[in-house]
Amino acid sequence: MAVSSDFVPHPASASPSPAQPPPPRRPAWRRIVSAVAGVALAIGAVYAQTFVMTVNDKTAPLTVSGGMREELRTDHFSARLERIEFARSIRVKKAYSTDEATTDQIFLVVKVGATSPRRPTKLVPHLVTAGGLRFAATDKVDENATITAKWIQPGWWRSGLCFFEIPPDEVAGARVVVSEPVNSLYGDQYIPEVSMDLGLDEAKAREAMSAAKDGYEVSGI
Amino acid sequence: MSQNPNDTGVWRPPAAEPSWFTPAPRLPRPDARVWPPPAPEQEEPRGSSTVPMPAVQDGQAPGRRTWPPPPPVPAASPPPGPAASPFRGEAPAERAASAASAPAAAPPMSLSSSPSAAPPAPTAPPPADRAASAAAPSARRRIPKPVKIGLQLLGAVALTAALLGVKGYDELTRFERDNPAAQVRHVASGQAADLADARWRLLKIAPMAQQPDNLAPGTIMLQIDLEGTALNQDGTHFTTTPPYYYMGDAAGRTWMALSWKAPERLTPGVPGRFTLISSVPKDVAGQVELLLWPNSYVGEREWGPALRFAR
Amino acid sequence: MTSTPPRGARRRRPVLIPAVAVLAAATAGVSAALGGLAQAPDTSVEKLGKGAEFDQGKMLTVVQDAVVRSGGKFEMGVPGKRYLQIVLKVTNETDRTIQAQEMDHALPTVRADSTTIKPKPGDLGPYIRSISQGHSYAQLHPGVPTTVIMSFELEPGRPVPKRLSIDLGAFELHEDFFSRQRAWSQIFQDTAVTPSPAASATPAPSPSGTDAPRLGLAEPKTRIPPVVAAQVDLPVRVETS
Repeated sequence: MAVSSDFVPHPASASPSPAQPPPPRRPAWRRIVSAVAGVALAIGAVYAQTFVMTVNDKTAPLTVSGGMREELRTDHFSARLERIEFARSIRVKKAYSTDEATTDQIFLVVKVGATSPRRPTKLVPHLVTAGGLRFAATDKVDENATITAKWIQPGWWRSGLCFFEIPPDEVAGARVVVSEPVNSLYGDQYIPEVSMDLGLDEAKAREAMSAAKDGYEVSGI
Repeated sequence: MSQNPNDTGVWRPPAAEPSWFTPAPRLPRPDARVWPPPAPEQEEPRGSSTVPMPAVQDGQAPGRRTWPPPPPVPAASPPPGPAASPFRGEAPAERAASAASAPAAAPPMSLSSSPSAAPPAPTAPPPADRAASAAAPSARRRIPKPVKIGLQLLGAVALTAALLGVKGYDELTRFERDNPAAQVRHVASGQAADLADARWRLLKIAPMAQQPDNLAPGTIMLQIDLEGTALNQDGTHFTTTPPYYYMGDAAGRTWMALSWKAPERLTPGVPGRFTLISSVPKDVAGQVELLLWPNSYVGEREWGPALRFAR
Repeated sequence: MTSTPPRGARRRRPVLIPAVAVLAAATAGVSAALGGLAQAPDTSVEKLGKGAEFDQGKMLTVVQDAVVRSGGKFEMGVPGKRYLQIVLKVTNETDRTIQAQEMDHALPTVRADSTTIKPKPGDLGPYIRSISQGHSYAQLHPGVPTTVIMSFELEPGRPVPKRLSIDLGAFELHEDFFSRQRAWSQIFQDTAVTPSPAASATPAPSPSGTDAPRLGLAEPKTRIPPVVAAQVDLPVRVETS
């Protein structure tokens, strides 16, 4: 056919490429399936975001939990809860004097045993109530009488006492957490901790507190 | 309109010569019409998009001044990808045809010969051309699809590994710089070694004569006698800032060793006696060795040089 | 191949993006002109009297009493000297034990009869302890109302002030920009302040020479003052015992 433009392509080759037949239209069911698959992938992606850890989770220490007299092992130390007692006042017998600590709330005296696999360490306890409040060990009792002052060394278990002054309402559901001291300026920031459930519900707490001692004596410091 | 290679008809060339702040004339957009150029009598707006459409065969075709076909490009640079436009589909066909028609000759540059070659080319059996065009590109370096995907996957995995490797290396070197590794030097029995401006020699490790009452069961208290000689004035500070001591066993466990007696003053060259005590389990009491660090700061973290005295 | 668009057809120019850009620019310009998006500072200062409770965010404070007494009571102070003591009842509202010394930031300014006794350049600041069962300690446990005493030493010759005006600061749980961690921090004002030397009336040096050692802080420094959320005005009583 003589056409004015010789460079106009042959009508038969009007499709994308001269050699291929025109591609068939995608059937409707395939489009639906791919749409559903796309939506499902999007849902999966959004759901995966729920697994992203919050900052608090990322910086939280690795916690090993347990109950009374359970040996809880971490890489840096192992600890176990040996005894729980309540007291209304505490007497610390030092070399040349005796300190008396009294309270209008209640003192919780916890005996913790610990050992270390390789290196000598020191441990610092704190109490976490059911409501999430963290109570540091009370400063009414000299630190040298507590487990904080004792070196935990490999090869043998060493016991020490922790003293907490807490309102009686917060005792039920509380747990004692023991970890190495962390200094924000240097040293390892991410340390393991051991969380020991005191195993006190409302009834047991009331019962234990009613047996609280007066004049709990600590000596040998 | 003359064929000015800089004037693509789509982008205006820059006002000045291209320099570092004005861009050079760019290639046209892929769907911009570059060939054939717009007809002069038609006011085609610049930048208009083009769509490949078949020509009007029997209607009134717009007056167009046709140009002779471009000189055939040497076969060394084939067009990439499947033919997306009929124009492209035609070019390799043309080239294949012209290459077939003049195989040994240099690409003919004369315009006179090509118009004669061109008209027969499209009208000559198209299936042959199409087959040739279909076969020719794949004969030339065309990576098959699975190989391509495999290469991409391999590249992704390799790059991820490289990224993680570089990040890990960076973090590791930073950690090692901030936390110097412990360099423990072993000192033979009875020998002396230098550390922190002083010369140290282990004299004796023995259980204490008088064991204290409140020892944990299974442990024994050892007494360690150490002789330290300051080498210069700097080394006399150990009376006020004592070194840090550990007792270590063969398995790598360590125990605290506390200073019990230290000399009141150290003068350079005069040996001074340091006495330490340490509680260790009874079963390792015979094999623990003394580890000496220059001060408590590096000793707690176990950084830098230290001495380990063999018994 | 190209084809000429049919005559008369209107090309659709893409106008959505430029239109949105112009709208955004106009919005930003109008907001900036009207003062920006920052929250207007809360400039109200609550005026409170003795015994009123105020929530500072981090703790709930009740200023109970202001008393001048000689040292030794509650294990605070030396028996021969006089101390101006502010008695507070503080309930720690955070989730962990804080130190009683943190009340130093909670009460940024204390004025006695128009003389600023805190912060006083060259002075280390008051001695702050939490009192329990007649002894002084240092902890404020969460959720437990504790008596806190802030003790200022009074120079021997100085007359007893009649009224005290105490500024109470405010705290917020602030999220750190980089680490995204939340911590209680004090709210400060936007502008720094350089007090003039005449305004900060530093008292004449005591002849007895028992002052706290001068730390070279005699000149007033430019500082960013904390936001004062409440002001407590209460009379001072003298305790003779």
